[in-house]
Amino acid sequence: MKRLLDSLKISIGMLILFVNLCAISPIFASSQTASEQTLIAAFLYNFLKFTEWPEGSINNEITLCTDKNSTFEELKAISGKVVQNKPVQVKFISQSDSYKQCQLLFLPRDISADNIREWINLTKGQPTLIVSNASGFLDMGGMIALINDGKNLNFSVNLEVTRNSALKLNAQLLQIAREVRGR
Amino acid sequence: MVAASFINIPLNRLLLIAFSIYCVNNAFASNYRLQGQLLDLPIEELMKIEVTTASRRSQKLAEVAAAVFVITQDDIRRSGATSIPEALRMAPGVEVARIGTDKWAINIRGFNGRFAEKLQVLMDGRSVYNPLFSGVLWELQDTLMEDIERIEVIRGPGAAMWGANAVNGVINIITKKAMDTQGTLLTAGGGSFEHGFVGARYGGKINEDTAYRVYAKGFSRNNMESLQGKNANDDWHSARGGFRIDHQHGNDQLTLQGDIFYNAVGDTLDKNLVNPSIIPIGSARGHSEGGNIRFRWDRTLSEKSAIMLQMYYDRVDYKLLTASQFKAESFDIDFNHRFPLFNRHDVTWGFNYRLYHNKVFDSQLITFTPRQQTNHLISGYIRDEITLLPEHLKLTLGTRFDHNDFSGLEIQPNGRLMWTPNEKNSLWLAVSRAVRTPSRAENDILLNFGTLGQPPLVTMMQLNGSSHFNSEKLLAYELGYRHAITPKASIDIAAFYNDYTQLRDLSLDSRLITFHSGVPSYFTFPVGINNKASGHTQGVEVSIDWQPHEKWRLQGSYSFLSMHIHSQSPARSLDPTTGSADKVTPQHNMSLRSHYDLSEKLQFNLWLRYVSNISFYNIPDYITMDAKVIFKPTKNTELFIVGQNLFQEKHREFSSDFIPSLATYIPQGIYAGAQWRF
Repeated sequence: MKRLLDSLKISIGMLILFVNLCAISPIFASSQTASEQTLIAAFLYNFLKFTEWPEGSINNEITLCTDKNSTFEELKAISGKVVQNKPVQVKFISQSDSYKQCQLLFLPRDISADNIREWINLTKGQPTLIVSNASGFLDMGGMIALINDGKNLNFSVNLEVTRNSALKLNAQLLQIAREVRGR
Repeated sequence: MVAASFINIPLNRLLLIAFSIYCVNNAFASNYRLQGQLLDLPIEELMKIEVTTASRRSQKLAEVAAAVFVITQDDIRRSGATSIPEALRMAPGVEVARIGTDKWAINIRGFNGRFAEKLQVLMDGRSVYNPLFSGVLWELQDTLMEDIERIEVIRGPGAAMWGANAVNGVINIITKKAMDTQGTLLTAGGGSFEHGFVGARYGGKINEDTAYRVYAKGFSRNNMESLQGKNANDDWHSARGGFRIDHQHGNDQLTLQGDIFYNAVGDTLDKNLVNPSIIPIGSARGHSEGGNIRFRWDRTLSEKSAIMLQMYYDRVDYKLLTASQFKAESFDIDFNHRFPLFNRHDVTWGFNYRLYHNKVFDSQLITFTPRQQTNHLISGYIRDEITLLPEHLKLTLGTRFDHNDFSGLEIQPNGRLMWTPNEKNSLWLAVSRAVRTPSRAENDILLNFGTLGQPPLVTMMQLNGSSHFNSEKLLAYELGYRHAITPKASIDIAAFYNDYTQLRDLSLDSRLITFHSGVPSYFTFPVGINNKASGHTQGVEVSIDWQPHEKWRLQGSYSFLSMHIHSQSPARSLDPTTGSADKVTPQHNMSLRSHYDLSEKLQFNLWLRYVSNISFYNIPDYITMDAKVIFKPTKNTELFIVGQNLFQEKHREFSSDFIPSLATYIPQGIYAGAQWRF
């Protein structure tokens, strides 16, 4: 037991020394965890805040759409929030529905890659921000790809496509993107 | 058909309970409080939040009504652990003791031994529990450490979910999906005890929906030194390779995964335990090789509904002459279905069939009668998670029915209650029944496990398996509490009382002593096996996670365990894993890990451990420390230096049981290496 105490003292001493050597930053980072679905919802909410749609393309509400086959219940949490002075509405739509009213369309990776490509073609040139967590989404012609690197969620942007759709992304947002294509 | 008729009875009862609860509670609008907080975070903060596993079935830790601890990839990387057994030292309540270079004794909540048989271990859903000798041959379980996503350690019985032998706990080793291991990874290094290691992995895509990876690794580890200062001849050389393909199409996920390996190992028997004139073995070198292939299909039907089908085949060829030689194969098929019922029920049911085939070759130490055998295991299970009060109170009832060739039908029910009064506190309790089924060895073995005395009066102790040997039974009572002190600090406490009956006991009958003439002549003293022992254990495990600031994280744990084994047999001291388990288990275990990021490029990690003494083997308590410094000169490069067991030149951890291998010292070690990702 005495040996244990001695060794403990040495170790604790080392730890304290170590901490004092390094300046302690008062900023506390988040050590939280959350499911990918919950996080994606929070990311999308932020995208709504930092996107500028062409004048006259938004009516009374900002509409966030996703595929009808998606099981993304977490998105409903954004419903009713206010962004750019307008309430957010969440809609689950199919390709035959009117997608033109959607300011943001989220395509979850669990609807197949073929489905995602169809959506991209369908909405080409429309002022709709297309976001997905499917792999290779930017190569397919998507606008913002959400990437789970195994630990955190990041995003990459293809500016060429957003420009063609007359959408403007806030510079702050582009600064923290992992990759920005077509700058 | 068999499984279906078993399930009828509890299901009726469940429906009754379900219906009454359904009537009492009505309309609690689901809310998104936790999510609401996340929504208000700026995107920079969101990017720092760790994503929990992609699987929709996985639950948040705070919601699990069991003593669970998760070892993450980051924990493994920072610990400097080069093998799965060494990484397991991070979890509270897990006793990891190294016996030799390639041998470990690992168990949860007591009963530890080289063939610790009360622990179920799965690698990506494939059981690696050895039904032949019982227990896990840890030297066969490996993968590229960088590909492990996490290791889930569940203390306490998990038999209702994972089946027989998940008596004291379950360890789930989960590797990353192929999608998460894209690109090239190369790693290499070496040092004093870890002579050298290399690893390579490449991940790519076949098409948009299909990702794959292939890997190969190899290492060479030094031999250990015996207590007498001799070379234990157990240096270990290993090569391993494998692949994984993940395909996602619509709601379907398909996985095909496989590994092959080759291990060259050695062993030296202790002359003080086995008289070399009777068993002339001394040192032996040998090898083991094997492989496995696994296919899994998941279909997500809706948010709370899914089906899963999995099949695997696994084989190992083990040859360490003249100690033991065997070939073992297993095939397993597993189906499960999860669906919601009446709003408040989350039901999972499934069935499982496993086939074991093995052949044991006669050696000087071990003979099996019959040498070859095929065994079948059939199980059905059902579990219902009932929401009594949305977000606050949850009851889980489940049971499993196993039929095995040795003890017949086994029923293993459990009940768990989870109370979450608010986001910061959760309290759970559980009552479970679990059984440890007999291994083939306990039925069929003739084991020469040691000699007593000197010629001409040498007595060979011979363990005889018995077909009358039955399952060991456990009734476990558990209680746990989790508290988030601040968003940066949390504490997790679990306490348990385990009541064991029909434990393995050994018997001596002097009338059965026989004399063998010859040169030299000797007596054999048969040792029988029965279920006459019983026992109880109690303990507490505490783990604390604290992030005093952005760059510094501390994780500490302490476990206390007290064991009492009741046995009248004078032979109890011949069975360290059961009869003398109370003298083999260290009462106190402590671990403290510090992860410090000096800068974006430099990380400094310390890991301090204390284990109290083991009186049975005269092993004193020890305190030791590992340290790892990681330097990242560029984004893709990592250089590291690791010191292991730093406080003393060498220390003892355990001794081999049943196979009389030389006891060794665990040495200090230092190694360095580099890793590239591109």
